Amino acid sequence: MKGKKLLIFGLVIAAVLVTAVKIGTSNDEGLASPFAGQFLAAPTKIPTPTLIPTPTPIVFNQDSNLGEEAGKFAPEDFSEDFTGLKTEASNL
Amino acid sequence: MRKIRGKGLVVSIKGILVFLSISLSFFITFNVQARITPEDIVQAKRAAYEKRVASYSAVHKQALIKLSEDIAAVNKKRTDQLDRIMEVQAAILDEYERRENGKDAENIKTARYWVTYAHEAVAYQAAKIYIFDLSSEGNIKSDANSTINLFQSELNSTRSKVIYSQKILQGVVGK
Repeated sequence: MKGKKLLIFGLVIAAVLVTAVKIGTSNDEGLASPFAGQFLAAPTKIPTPTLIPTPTPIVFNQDSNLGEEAGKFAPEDFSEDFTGLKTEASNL
Repeated sequence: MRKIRGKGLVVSIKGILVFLSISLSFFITFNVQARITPEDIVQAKRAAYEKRVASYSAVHKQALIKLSEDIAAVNKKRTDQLDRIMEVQAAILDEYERRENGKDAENIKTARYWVTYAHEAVAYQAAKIYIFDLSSEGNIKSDANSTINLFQSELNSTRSKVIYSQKILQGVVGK
């Protein structure tokens, strides 16, 4: 009787452990980035590029001031884009 | 080993089989629940949108398609610009690291983290798809504006991250 109880108990524990391991390893993506856990909205159609242009290489002179270079490339103001979209929405 | 007789043996085997079946059913259920992908979410949103917009007028349907394409075009244009800026920032940091030749490692590491963080944010934003969450045809303007406001908030947030990484980089390389 004691043996039967032990056997059943052991089977239950084994089943729980297997389930826990499977749940823990079910998502293999494991992103290390700050955005881990957030979903990327994947495109449903990925267009095939016919020609991939070679990006212009970024070259610095030995004398170039890197602080100045870093300050040159600031993002533009996007307000006009949103104004245009909102005007379009208001015409619906 | 003790002999288990007749009825006892049947009951024991039945008990074991019941426990195994219950455990197996939990295993399969949990495995399926863990498999919702980002694409599933987009497809679910798209299905809900298609269901709603089916009853809209042809004019409104066409206008929503155009607006959706315009949002996607703005997102691509701006994230391409931000991506180029991030490439320049990374190149500046690489050049600084080359010139320092092993010195100032801590500050370079900090700047590298924020440049990578911003670059990832740009890639994340570029991959986003904006689908209108429609309530009714009477509310089409406010539904469209909600989506545009969300897009504006997210794109501006990405832009802020690029500006922040630029400030960190200037602080490190501009000494």
